[in-house]
Amino acid sequence: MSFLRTILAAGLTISASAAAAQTAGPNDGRLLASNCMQCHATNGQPRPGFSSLAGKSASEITGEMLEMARMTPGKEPEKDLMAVHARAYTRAEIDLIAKYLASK
Amino acid sequence: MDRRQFIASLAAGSAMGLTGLMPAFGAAIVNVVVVGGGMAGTTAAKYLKLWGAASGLDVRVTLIDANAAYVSCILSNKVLTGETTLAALTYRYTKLAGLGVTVVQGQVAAVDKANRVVRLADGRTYPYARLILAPGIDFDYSALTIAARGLTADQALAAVPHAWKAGPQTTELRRQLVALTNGNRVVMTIPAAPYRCPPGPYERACAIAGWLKANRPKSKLIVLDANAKIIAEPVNFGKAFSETYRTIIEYYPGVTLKGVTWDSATPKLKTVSLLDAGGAAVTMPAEVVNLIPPQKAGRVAIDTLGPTGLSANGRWALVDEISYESKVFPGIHVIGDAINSKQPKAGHIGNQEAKICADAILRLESGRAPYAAPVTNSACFTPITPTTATWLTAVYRYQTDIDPATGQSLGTKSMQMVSGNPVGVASETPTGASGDNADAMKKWFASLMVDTFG
Ligand SMILES: Cc1cc2nc3c(=O)[nH]c(=O)nc-3n(C[C@H](O)[C@H](O)[C@H](O)COP(=O)(O)OP(=O)(O)OC[C@H]3O[C@@H](n4cnc5c(N)ncnc54)[C@H](O)[C@@H]3O)c2cc1C
Ligand code: HEC
Repeated sequence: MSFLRTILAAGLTISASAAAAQTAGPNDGRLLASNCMQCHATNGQPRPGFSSLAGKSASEITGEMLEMARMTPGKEPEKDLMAVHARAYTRAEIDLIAKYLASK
Repeated sequence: MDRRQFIASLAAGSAMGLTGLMPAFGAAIVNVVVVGGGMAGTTAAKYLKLWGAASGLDVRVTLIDANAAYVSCILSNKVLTGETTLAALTYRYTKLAGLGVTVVQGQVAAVDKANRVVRLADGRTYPYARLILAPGIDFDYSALTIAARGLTADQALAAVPHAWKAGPQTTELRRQLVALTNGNRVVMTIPAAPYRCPPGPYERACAIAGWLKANRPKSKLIVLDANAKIIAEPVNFGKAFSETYRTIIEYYPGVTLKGVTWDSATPKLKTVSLLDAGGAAVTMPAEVVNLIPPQKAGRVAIDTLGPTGLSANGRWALVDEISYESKVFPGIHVIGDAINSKQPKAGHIGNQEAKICADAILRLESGRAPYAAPVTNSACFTPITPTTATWLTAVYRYQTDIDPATGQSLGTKSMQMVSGNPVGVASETPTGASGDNADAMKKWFASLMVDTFG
């Protein structure tokens, strides 16, 4: 590949990802997931008393978050700390968080 | 290299922008100065560097604090009881420096907004493109008469310590407690909300009462609260006051504190003056007074933003919580205890405000809008006795303000609670005060400080 074509190809990639950034917001998941780091450590590494969030797949994290957030009609809602926390997010936010953490 | 040189180097056919390995090299320089290396400011500096590396910008961060190291207020009530020490609660900026933050020790005296320069008391100056003010709180004694014959005004204030910034005052309050004779009276005063750490004074009451119960069991702790009732964890603390510490604590809500007077020759004969909840003037004797005064944003925020950039009462910075930028002065962001907010003034949530501010600055400097709906969380573990604790958590989201009377949108947005423990019910903390919670508290604190200081 010539130098010029390299530049063009790279340029395309850059502008394509910049455009994606405008719509999907690559750092949206990073920002939302930073709201886990006070307890689960910067970048989700394991800490005494807190499960590692890093190294899990996105579907595992999403599944656990939805499980913790679940409110069953007629049943007392779970009241542990993670349940209160998990209930705050929309499904779309949980997916963004899970995707970001899975990439760590 | 500035923006012009960057364009010139591209024109010269440099391919470095293509490698993606040196994102900051050749990128536009953004100078961010952070004033205050506490819970909020330190986190902002750290995450600006962590995230700035991948932003395509050359983010240069200077963190200025008056002290060489930070002493955590969180868990400092356990210094009063001798369970821990200030040394064990001291954090250094070494990891931040390792991330490339320029750490400066110095007192910020003024901000020159027109020229975007921060000036230290010793004359050093630091120019900024964006300024983050994270100075925490200052105290307001203006409505109180604190006077001792034979002492200067400052000496008198130091003799009725607030211990609401961990440091020498914490040591002084501990010294006074240890010097108590069994049967002596301790008075502590709680200011009207908002103040730093809503459950903090009630936690303080439990800490002092626990120590008295074990060491000076005939002594009393009289809690004078300016608020109409216990404003945080009313069930947990109500139970602690009326059951666990029934023989020690007398709790009086709705009190207007007027002052404390004494003669320096007899420091243990202090007189506390107040108006009780019914408005009647009362005086009471006390050997030790832990006076937690009304609060306002740290002075550098008041001086820089006032009066137009402050809340109507002149105490707190008005910011748009999407980015924590001042509502009045572009380029100046304020985070942590110094802001006017529905979020509590607490270290855990100040840490998250800082990340949102850092992310918004990176987006704004890249010509993009801040993330539209940021989320924060507050988590508070509270020791009730040396071996038990409770906890409370809440999540806040940036959303439309609704007029509670009409249910209509007010057209503005701010951080609002979207999930939290039920408050005021029997199971405020599902398990109540427990040893498991006390254990979790230690782990939570360690994690929070690692996320903040590195
Ligand atoms: C007894 C007690 C218990 C608490 N418990 C908890 C808890 O369990 N959980 C929780 O989340 N929070 C707790 N808090 C609250 C928490 O400590 C504060 O909310 C938090 O520290 C606020 O962070 P900040 O960055 O705004 O201010 P700070 O952490 O106070 O940092 C401000 C920094 O700015 C510096 N500074 C100020 N002005 C200048 C200047 N002009 N020049 C240079 N430097 C300057 C100061 O030196 C300081 O280091 C507690 C507080 C107390 C008092
Ligand atoms: C205030 C502290 C705190 C915050 C903030 C927090 N967590 Fe947790 N989390 C806990 C605690 C405590 C547990 C239970 C102990 C454990 O398994 O780690 C937990 C457990 C979990 C688990 C279950 C792990 C398992 O193996 O069962 C997941 C998944 C999780 N958290 C994800 C998150 C995500 C994602 C966020 C941010 C959106 C977050 N947490 C924010 C404290 C917190």
